[in-house]
Amino acid sequence: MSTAELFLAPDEIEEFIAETLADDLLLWIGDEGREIGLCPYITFYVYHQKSDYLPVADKIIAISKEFEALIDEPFQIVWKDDTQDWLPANDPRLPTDLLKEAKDRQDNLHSFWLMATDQDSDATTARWAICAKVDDGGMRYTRLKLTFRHKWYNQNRARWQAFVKDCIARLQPEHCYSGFEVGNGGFNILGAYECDVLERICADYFYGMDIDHTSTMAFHSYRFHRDDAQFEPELVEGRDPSVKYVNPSNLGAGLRTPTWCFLLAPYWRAKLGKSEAEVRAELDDPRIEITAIPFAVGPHNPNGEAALWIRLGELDLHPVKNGVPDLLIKANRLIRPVRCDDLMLLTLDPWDDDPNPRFDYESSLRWMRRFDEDSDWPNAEIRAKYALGYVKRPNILAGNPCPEAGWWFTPAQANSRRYFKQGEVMPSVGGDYGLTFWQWSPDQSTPKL
Amino acid sequence: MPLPLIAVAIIEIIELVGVALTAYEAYDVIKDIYEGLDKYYKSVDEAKKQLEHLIQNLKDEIDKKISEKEQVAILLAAAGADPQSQNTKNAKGRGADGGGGVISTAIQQKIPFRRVISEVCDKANAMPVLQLRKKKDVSIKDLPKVKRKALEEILKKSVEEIADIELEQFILVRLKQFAASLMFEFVDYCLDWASPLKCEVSFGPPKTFTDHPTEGATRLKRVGRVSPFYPVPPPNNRAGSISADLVINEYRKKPTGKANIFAIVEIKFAGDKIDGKQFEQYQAVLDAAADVKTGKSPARFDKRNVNSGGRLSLFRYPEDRAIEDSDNKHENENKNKDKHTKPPRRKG
Repeated sequence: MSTAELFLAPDEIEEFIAETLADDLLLWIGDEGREIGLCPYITFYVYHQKSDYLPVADKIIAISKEFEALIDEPFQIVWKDDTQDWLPANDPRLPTDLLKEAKDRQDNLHSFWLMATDQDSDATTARWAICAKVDDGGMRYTRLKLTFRHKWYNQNRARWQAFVKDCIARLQPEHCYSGFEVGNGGFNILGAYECDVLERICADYFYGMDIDHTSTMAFHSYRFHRDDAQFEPELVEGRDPSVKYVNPSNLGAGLRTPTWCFLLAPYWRAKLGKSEAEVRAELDDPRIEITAIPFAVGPHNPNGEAALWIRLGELDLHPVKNGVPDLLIKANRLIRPVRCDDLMLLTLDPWDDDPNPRFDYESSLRWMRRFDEDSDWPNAEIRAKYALGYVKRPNILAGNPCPEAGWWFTPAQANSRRYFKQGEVMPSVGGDYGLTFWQWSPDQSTPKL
Repeated sequence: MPLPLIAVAIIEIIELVGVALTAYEAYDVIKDIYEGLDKYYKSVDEAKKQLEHLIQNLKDEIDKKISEKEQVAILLAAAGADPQSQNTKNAKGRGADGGGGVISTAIQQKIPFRRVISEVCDKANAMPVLQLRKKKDVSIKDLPKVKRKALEEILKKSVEEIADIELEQFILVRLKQFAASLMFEFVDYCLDWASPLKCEVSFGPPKTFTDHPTEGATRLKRVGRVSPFYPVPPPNNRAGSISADLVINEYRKKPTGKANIFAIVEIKFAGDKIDGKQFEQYQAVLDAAADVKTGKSPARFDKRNVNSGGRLSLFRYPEDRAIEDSDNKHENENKNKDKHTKPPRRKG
């Protein structure tokens, strides 16, 4: 794509959004070899000391092997870190002793990368991908991002969730987020313009989309914090000692706005000043699952308290047309005091003549605050229109009986809104569009003559 | 606007020095690398002498018209008007095609001075120094020790380190970069060390990323004898240090360093490897820069927080050269021709 022309025309956007919502498949759009779409992911951001480099690398290598055994499509290309090349997954030039590779990187003061994807290009949104970067812990979180397949997840929910909880218990991350994103695999060193654009487009349509740019968000400023274990006095010479410098655009400054699942690590719960019981009381809802995961005593967890892994209902993109999701509002209210509103959502500075929609300073803030009571994201009119009386209804594949009497429509056909009685078989409309899915219409009014 | 004036002034200097150096090429028959380099330095000295009276007027004009307070706003405006080609806007080609660490964002980043950088690279690409080649059938290891040492310092690597590299190509690329750095340094010299473009700026190892030592307020300290840029001055000669090809300063009369970065520009001539880890390191430097800038002034530009230490740009030569105005018109006419967005496709 180009920074000088439109990435997606309005009709392409409408088609992309409608088809993405139609079922649980990954939908791609974009130039050949750089196709992108929305897919589920989980990222673990691990705070650790320099001495933990190899133990953390060892855990990530073990998890990557378990992940590879879990997935239902093989990796096609694998990163060879010492030569910085992607090679076919079975290439004999790939190292067999990854821990030795990690040690070599550490000895050369480098970070250690472990990456693989089931696509033939690292610029394409994957169904399955792993991207880990082990850092020396000095100013960046070590991170592990797993891209997972929505279709597989729907058939293996318990298995996946058990795997995730086990990963959290082993890695003891300080941040962990899971939900939908414009799939970037975590591979892009500086991010990608296409992802920035599609994220901004999708932000108008999906409350449940997250933005996770591991490369730019993973920094922290703890070495500048006088009360942190990593504090280095020589770095803050000449500065006002009463000011604690935090880079507000990184996750060291706070938590991201909640999406589907997020971790409340002991460090952030302490900052909130709430006990586990208080968190549980505040998030009391049968649709919310909170799992306490034991965390070891460490610089950011002096009392060895448990982390809380919080799942807000089901994995869902939460289309804006369905109204603001109440569980996300609830979780947002809880974490708001430690939320990182200034998080940098762009990988590239915006410029005046860019024809594509991108986040800017103001819209980034509004988006981070989209679940606040006084928010008007994406705009006040839409927000008001869908604010009340919303009950989530699933999309229905043609050939199935209508679950609830009312007005339905399908994106497969223009002006398709029609009334179905409960139990009435919902028809296919044919055409080139693909499968017909019927959606509950936000407009339940009787047509006027 | 003052900035275009600087850009024009710098381009004029580059043009003059380019002419001066090329004149020497005619009668310099370079026999081997060591003698050739010696002649190159003589050429630069001669050019300096020739240029001194010419640049004085430009310096006076720049000093009069530049207001320090305006400089960042001017740089932003200049970046907004960056004459990028479609190659750059699309991030096509080297480093951007996937399959090797995607750095397309750094290619697409808008920067001021693209035209100046392009001019320097054009000249560096055609410098007499590039005719320096090793003698036929003579390996580097066969060179006398002094000559080997000279070559090592220009290449910034030991002979042992480059044993496995495609040598001819590596030497050529390094010499082009060396020539470009000499050009930027020469411009800086001409502007009394107040050029906004600083080449070969070193940062010490993480986590401090120590700033490059200076002599006086704005002149970067150089300690190399054969190449001014290598070895880098202590304390930035320690393992884990990184040198940026080019740093664009925010304020021309303040020292180059983390508190003063507008952009880091990595220049890659054709045939040079684009190294993802290098960009990761620059990103870490910029993050440290954001902390320093926050410490100095927590809110900038309409009370917004500092959230970036500066821009990070990859300039591939020749792909990312600035386009001329006439080219621009032509590009606008053709800009939709290479669009091949596909309709949505399911992947399951």
